[in-house]
Amino acid sequence: MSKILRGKGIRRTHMQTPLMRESLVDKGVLARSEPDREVRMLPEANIVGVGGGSIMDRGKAAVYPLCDELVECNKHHKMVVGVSGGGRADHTMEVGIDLGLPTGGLAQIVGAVEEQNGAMLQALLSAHGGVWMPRDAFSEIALYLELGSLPIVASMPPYHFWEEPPREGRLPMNGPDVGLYLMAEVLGVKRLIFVKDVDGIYENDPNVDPDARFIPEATSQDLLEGGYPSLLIEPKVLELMPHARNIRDFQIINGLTPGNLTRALDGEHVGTIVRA
Amino acid sequence: MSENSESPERHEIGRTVELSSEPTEVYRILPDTKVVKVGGQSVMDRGRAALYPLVDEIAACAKDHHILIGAGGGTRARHAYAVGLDLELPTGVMARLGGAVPMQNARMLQMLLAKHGGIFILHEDFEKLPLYFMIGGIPVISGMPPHEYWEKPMAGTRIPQNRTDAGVFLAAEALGCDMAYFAKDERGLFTADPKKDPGAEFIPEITVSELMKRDLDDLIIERVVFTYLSRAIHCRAIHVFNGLERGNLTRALNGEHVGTIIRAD
Repeated sequence: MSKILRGKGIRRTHMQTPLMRESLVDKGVLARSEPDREVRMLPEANIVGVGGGSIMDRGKAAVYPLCDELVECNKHHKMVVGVSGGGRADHTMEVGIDLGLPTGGLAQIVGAVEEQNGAMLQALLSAHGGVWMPRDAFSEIALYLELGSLPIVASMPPYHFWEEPPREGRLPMNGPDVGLYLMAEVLGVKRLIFVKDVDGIYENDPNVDPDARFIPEATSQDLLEGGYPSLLIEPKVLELMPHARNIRDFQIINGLTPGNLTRALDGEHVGTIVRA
Repeated sequence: MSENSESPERHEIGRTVELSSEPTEVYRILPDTKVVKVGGQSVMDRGRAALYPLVDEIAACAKDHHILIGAGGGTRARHAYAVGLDLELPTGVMARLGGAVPMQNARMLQMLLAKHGGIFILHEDFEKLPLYFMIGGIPVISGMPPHEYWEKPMAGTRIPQNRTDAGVFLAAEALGCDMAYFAKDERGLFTADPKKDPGAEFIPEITVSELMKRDLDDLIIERVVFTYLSRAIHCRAIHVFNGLERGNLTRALNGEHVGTIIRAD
């Protein structure tokens, strides 16, 4: 039981805890705060990220078959579907940069595009349990999944005006990939799968170089240091991975190939697997 | 669809933007705002003896400045972190827990400031700041950034790295302010925690790189703030001062140097 230590006059009123009076900035205190294990909140759930530019912007030809597959997979797996922005997000950034908006201002406005894409997916999946899950309902995910519904979420982390200043340039470093990765990490889900329009990561852009070598498996370090022209994933995710407790790998798959999502959810290797 | 829009990835977006537009000057949204953090453990937990005079001073200063108050957490946040660590909860859950206490403190400050125009605001109300200032209000917000479950795990600890100092700093940077203000219970930065080491030396002014070189074991400000400070475009300095000493806030807001000023290089 914790005790309240009443401070007289201007003295501080404390609660007796191991962190009492400690500065949370002190290196010694930080070193003592790392326990061995971490709770996994939803170890049976999966998170599937649907690309904005790679899937949604392609319209019916890409989205309808993927929705059919999501519905089928939802019968066997618990899933949360995240969606990113795509072309309209790029356009938002272009205009925002031209206006001189600060990084936090860009982060504040770009999320609306994901909400549009989310609303589209939700409309298509509605008859099969598709529901838009607002961030405030985060602690109710278990309920959504228990009901067998297919919750759809925005991917960007909700940093908004509080987005960190980027290392270079003006664009937010924490985009939809970071957001979904963090969501997967805090929930401790079984699998994190990013659905794109290519088979995975190549050493060169396959649209430019048809002989580009495919990379079936890589570590986050390999990718950060490899100097590849197109990583398909935000570099910030790769930087985060070594510190993650739960999500030590994810897979990038081609969502234009029917069956890939089903196989990836069953644990098969169909795209590029990135490991911490 | 056009060829160019087939790029959902952020770094791809970065490339596109780099190609199509020259970097413009970053617009300052509300640069005259004074973003002031009121410390949790350092001020709030001291109760009326510390807060009543500070609240009076904030009210007086608000006649001359547009002040946004960010509240710190303090001992109850530490208690929640201690229990959360013991329960093996993930970093994102810890950030969610840590956010509740500065929210309480912001509400306490609002009650004390109400008759002077104190308004409790949420992160969602940030875009209404011009209104609050226009009507002579003193908006009070939780210092914690809105990251919550999306707080990043880091090596070595599950105590969230972005806490109320970081939130207050990022708010000042987003608004385009030159400086962020931190009212705490020490004169400023010392070479060690002056509460534990009587030999600790006061540092009136220092740059981030000098500070990093010293590699101090303890600091008066969350470490991540120094990273942000060094990358910031507008908010290139923070002023940490003793908010328990009458007149310091007034002087600091008028541009006087009363505590420690930490500058980006």
